[in-house]
Amino acid sequence: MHPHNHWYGGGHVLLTHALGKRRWTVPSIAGHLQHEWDIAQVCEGDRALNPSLTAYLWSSGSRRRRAATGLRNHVVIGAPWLYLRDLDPKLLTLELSAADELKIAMGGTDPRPKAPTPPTGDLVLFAEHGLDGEFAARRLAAQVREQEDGAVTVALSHRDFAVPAVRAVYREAGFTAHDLGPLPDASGTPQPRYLDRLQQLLTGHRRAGANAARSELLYAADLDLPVRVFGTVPPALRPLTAPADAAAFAADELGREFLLSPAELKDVLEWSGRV
Amino acid sequence: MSDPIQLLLDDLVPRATAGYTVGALPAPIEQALRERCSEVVELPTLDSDAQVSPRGVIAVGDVAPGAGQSAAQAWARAVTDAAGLLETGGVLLVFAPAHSVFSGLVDGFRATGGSDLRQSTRRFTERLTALGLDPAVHLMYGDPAAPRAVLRADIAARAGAGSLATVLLAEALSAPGADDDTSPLPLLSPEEAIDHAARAGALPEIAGGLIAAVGGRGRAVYAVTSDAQPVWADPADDGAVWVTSYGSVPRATTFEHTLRRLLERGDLPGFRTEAARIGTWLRTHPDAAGLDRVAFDRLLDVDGAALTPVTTTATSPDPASADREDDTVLTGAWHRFHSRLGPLRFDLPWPQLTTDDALITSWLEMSGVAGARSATLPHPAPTSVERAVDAIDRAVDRNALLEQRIAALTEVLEHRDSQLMVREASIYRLHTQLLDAIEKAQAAERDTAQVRGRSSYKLARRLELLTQPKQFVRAAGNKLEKQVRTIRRMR
Repeated sequence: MHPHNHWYGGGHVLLTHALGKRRWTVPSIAGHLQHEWDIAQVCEGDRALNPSLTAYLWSSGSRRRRAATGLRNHVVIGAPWLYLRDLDPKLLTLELSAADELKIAMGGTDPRPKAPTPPTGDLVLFAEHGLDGEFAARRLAAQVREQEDGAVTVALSHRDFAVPAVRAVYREAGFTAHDLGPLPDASGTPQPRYLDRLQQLLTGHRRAGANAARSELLYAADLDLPVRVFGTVPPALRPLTAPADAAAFAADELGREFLLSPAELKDVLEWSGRV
Repeated sequence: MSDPIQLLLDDLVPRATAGYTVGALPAPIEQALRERCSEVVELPTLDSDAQVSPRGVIAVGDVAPGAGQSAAQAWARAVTDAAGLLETGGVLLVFAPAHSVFSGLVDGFRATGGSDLRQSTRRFTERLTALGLDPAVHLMYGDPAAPRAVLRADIAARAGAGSLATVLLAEALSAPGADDDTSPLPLLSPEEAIDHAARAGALPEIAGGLIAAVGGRGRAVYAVTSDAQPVWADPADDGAVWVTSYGSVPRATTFEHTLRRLLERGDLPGFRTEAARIGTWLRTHPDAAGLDRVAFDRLLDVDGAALTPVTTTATSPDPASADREDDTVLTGAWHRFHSRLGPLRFDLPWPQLTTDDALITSWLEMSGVAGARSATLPHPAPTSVERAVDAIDRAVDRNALLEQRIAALTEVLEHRDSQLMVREASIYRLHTQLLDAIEKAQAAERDTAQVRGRSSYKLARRLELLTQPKQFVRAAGNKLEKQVRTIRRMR
């Protein structure tokens, strides 16, 4: 019911996990699905929920922090990212006919529309500029250039990427500027959703970095990529930057132990009997 | 039938001792004393001038104040005098009603004794200590005229939720007949009240009456079970076990307590593990083989490693019956657990609108019951008025939630309606533009046809050929060739 449920592709991942088959339109979820790490960004979407609706959270940490503000009606189900990691990637692409599969096996081309291939490199940097825009980008680019020698991909939000001056700053610094794409899902289509695109981007790099607390850092740590923070490291991010603790911290914050079976997930999301 | 008071006095008072009673005592206490003692003499007061000989047992109750005395002063005086009159090695018993409003909520007993004599456990102990006595204070629970359980104050203060003392106390207070003489509906079920009080460390504060014993040794817990059997329990081995009237029981909290704690913490993985453990235990453990009914509140969870049923009889369970179905036993156990959730049901790690059946099905699946989802769950009738009221409460809450859900859905529909209106306006506008364009195209076609039908248009077309010599020559050639062919055919 909440528009946020159609962002980041989280709802689509949960639907695919619950059904175990392809389906491109996510049915209504009676509540609000957490879509960002609540330490990185507190979403107001789940603050004013009708009491009959549920806030679906990633982890016991999120639950604790939400409960500390006096809110209730939450259920911990684990982060959609973790469901995505366990999902058969074929279920996120269009189904091939037997004839097409045979053609591909014989060396033919895949008839499905190809999604753009994300760049690869050493470090993928998730940049945030705030209100300073181009000027913050210039400072960050200088800082990163000073400390990094390898190929750097700067992942920009769809909005930042749309600003030519910001793109130019990173290109001038010798980095590859990459558009993370729109947050809302292309509902009803097999177009890769945000999380899927992000997974492809991260797996093409050896390290991840950011200049602020970002959910993407948790995802990177979950993929066992070393994480680096440029600028002052907020205390909440310290475990992420310690290689020994990062994976366990990410698993905790993403709620790995709370993942539900398809049947349980359908029950909890009130999809049983209608999906 | 033995009751807790009788059991307590059996332990405290040597048989065939002669004794005095001073002031008004609750009837069951007085009766128990008379059965126990060889002779009991009632003294309205202890006048120091009166010639009374020392005796082995003196019981002090509600003493009427003399002239110029307050009730408290009269009571203190009576206790002091009684202590002075006691034989060496004798037992002094002091009774007082407790200052407990909470207990009144639970069992609605009518207060006895003057209100200024009602006192808290702490104050009662302090006053006796101030008189130079070193009492062991026992607390009576339930109606003081017919107490159902007696706990020693130190044990009551330490007994946490789910401990054996709490389990026995809850069972005693909710046993059939425990509230026969009370007509008002309790505001709290006894289990719920005791659970809350135990969590708050306030069990001493909900006692209905107090018994201080100077001399003698009483046990920690006396209670009447649901099948009207008296039991006692005493901690032993440095608190590692309970020695009870029916055997030794490890010191642990109940399995229900473990599950509740996990639910309170929202620890679903932990809950899942415990649910699997109970399923495995029921199917494989010898202790579970003879049980045709399992109650998690009667199952002790020993250090998260072993489960031990709390039995209040010395008899061992029957051997496994061939027709027992583990799934049915588990279903009953989860139903009971669900019905005892109380206020915790508002904070479960499942959506609030999850139905009771869906919850129990989910728990059964966690316990390893295959096909629970497709099975039809039995719905046991509520076992008591409190449970029935609780079920009604749940239904009312659910109704309220459903109303809120309807409001939320209506709001969503309003949003969608407004979005549809925007869409409709767009479609209407585009449709109008399309119709307009079609109309203009048709008018243009008509005009063109009219123009083409006129002789001036034909003349203009011919004249236009003059401006394009190549086309003119081609058209003239074609015409000439056509004429030539016609002439040839005529030949």
